[in-house]
Amino acid sequence: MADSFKSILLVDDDLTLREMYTERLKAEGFTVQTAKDGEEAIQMATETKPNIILLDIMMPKINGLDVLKKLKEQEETKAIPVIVLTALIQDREKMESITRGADDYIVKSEMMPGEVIQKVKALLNHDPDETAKPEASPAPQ
Amino acid sequence: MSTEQAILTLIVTICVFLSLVSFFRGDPQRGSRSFGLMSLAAGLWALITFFEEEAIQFHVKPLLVSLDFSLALAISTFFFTFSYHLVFRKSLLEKKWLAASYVTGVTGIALLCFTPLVISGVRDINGSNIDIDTGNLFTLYASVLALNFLTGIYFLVRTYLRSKGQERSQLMYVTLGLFISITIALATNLILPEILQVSSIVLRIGIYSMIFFLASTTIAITRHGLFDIKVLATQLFVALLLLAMLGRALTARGTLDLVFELFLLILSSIFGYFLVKSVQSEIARRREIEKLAQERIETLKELEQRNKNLAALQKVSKLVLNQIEMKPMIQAILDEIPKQFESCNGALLNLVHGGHLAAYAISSNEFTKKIYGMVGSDIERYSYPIKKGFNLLHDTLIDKQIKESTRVSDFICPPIAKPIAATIQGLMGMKYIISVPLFAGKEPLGVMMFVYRVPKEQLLDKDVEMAVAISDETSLAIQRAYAFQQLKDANEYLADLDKLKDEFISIASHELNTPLAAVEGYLSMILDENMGKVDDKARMYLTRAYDSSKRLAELILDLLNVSRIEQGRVKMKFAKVNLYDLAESVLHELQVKADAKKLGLKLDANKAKVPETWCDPDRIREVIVNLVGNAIKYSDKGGITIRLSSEAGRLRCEVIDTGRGISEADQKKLFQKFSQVKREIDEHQGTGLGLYISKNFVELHKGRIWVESEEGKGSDFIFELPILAEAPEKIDGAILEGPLSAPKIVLRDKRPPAAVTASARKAE
Repeated sequence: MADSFKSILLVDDDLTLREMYTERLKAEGFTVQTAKDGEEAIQMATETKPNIILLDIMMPKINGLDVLKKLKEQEETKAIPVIVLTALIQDREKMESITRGADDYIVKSEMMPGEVIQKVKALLNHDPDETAKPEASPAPQ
Repeated sequence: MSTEQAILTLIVTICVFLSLVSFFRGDPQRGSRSFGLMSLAAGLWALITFFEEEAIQFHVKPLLVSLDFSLALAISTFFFTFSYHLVFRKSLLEKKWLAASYVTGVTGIALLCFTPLVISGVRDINGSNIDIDTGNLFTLYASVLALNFLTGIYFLVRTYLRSKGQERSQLMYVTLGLFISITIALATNLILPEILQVSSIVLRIGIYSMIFFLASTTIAITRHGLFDIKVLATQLFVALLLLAMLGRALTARGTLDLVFELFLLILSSIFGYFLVKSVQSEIARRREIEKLAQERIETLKELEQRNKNLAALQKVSKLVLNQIEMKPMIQAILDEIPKQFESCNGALLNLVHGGHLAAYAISSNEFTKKIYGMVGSDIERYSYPIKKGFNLLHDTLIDKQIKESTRVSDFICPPIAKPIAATIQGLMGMKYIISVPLFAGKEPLGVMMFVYRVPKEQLLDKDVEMAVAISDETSLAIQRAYAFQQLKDANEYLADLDKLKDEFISIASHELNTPLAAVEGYLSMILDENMGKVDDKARMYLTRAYDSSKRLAELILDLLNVSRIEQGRVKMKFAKVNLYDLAESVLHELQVKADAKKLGLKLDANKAKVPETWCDPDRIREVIVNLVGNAIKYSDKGGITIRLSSEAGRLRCEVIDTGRGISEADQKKLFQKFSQVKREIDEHQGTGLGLYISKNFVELHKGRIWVESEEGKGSDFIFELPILAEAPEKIDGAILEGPLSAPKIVLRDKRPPAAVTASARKAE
């Protein structure tokens, strides 16, 4: 319901992926805007203030992490939740640093579009339905 | 005889004596003959000038005056030749034309003294005193006289300043005495009478002033051994004594007396002979001793200098050792050179680069700025192909010889312009320059040029030796610096290569995964989420395509892992981990797959009893995933158990299945690359890399992995890890990234696409 009027800014340098995610997101009822590089992303985010941003990490020119930093620094954009996307499975450790600014992350080749939708919804609704499976507790601090 | 006459006699006698001694006993090399003649002339002059003012017949006096003047001229001439001889160590007569004209001129003027041109008249004043009127050429006479004396004094003083030791003392007295006597005599007998009427006493002062000369010469003789007077005196004395004894013998009365006198005579002769001999030998010995003493002083000085040189060389060596970078090291050496060696005030180093000789650096000193101003501070641009005859620096290299010159232009022009080179030479006061070739075996390294502020004659062999020694040091240093530079370059190249490799892996995985994500994504949307309409056949085909793309994803991941393993570039990040948590998360992930094949999957462990350890959780998790995945793949019935245990400082994880088991032959091939047990039914082909990667991951932890299995009876894959109390500092074959300071476990529930409710959580 409320989802239908939510707007998403999708940032990825690859055209094919942009088309695919846009397709899926639109099918879910979201309004989708796309940006193909960091500069565009910051500009559009500042101007249009989407409800959520999907941000690719590995981009030419401005790196995704720098974009994330900028977004979180700017008054206008810091409240917008950001999900970072990465193609590199190896980058798990990078996830750590990303999560300092990002609100969630997705490994593109592991997560199917359907799952991406779930993550987006969860973040937008703070959906309590997304129950966690019995998690292993972290090691004592 | 009056007092005056007595003094005169004394003066004249001593003059004559002095002249005889000088003539016969003096060192002709040092102008003793001229000295003797000068003394003789001086004595005669004193005698004649005395009688000018005496009460004698007047008509003699003009002759006396003429003689006076000409003798004075003679004195000055002999004085001049004497001092000339001292300075140039050879007689004036050797320069035939000069001598001839000089002698002719002087003789001419002397003769003129007998004509009215110099002395126009002599007048009697009061019977004994006279008055002299000078003629037209008197000025000429006086000038020549003065010139002789002045030049003589100049030469004497110059020689005095240059001499050392005993000779110095001798010369001092002689010069001083002569100077005083001549000055007074000239003043009283030549200058003053011209200006005003003087009494005869004043004129006599001129004569008496000769006492200074005589006295000082005597001192020089007796105290400083000017002539071999001691031996002469002894000889004279002995001769006189023997003569006296002979006289007595001859006048002896009676045979007894005669015999006695003769006996005494013979004894005295023998004694006299030995006396003379001993005096001679003593003189000789003393000379020896003095010579030795002098030599010793010089040797000590030389040793001191050598010590200084060695210390300097040591300092330079230290500089070489302290620096590895070429430019600062070379500059330090060059700057040190003028500090350590007084006569050398700078050096220039040129280096060989691919057939060119180029300037490299010069010593820093007060003139460096000006020099840079003239030639430009980027002296490296003065680089020219090595060619014979280009300049002395190039020749040094080609001939492999030290070159020398008094002009720096020979070394640096071309390419520097000659006027600039001359300016630099003047600025630094260069008197002598050498260039030394630097070689490493047969290979030319460069040329080092040293500039000195003293002429070659004043340099010692040691100075040049030092220059060569420093050049050798510099050669070694340059070789070392080159080697170091090569090493540095090689390392930088390797570092760049590594970076490229990492970039390649990143790019490869990114580039490969991106289109794959698109393929999988669309297929998932169709197949999992039923977006778009497909009929059953299309659905079947698409499903197969989907499965293939998933295999492709796995393969890419495995290949990237293998690539990293092979290059030793696996990134590992250690954290404090409880294996129980890892095993549990694997369980969640693979539960669905197990369910699909109706296999049981359980974790057999007590979390409290599982010790924590430091390991890379992501890698170990992958190992467990791989083992459990394999178990599921190769089992058709029964169940799979993950068992955790520990003993003796090692953590053990077992994945036990009830599958088909593995034959011994196959077991051997298991952990190798691309090994797979052949099966008839292939439902899901793996990459054959899983166990290879797992083995590597376990071994990077210094653990062990193996299998216990029997064909038909199931398999037990086991790996063990050492329990670590803290993160290791380094891992061979992997890149260790900083351990996570706050323990974090990344748990991701990786569900197969069918389970749409999957989500990833992070536990913090």
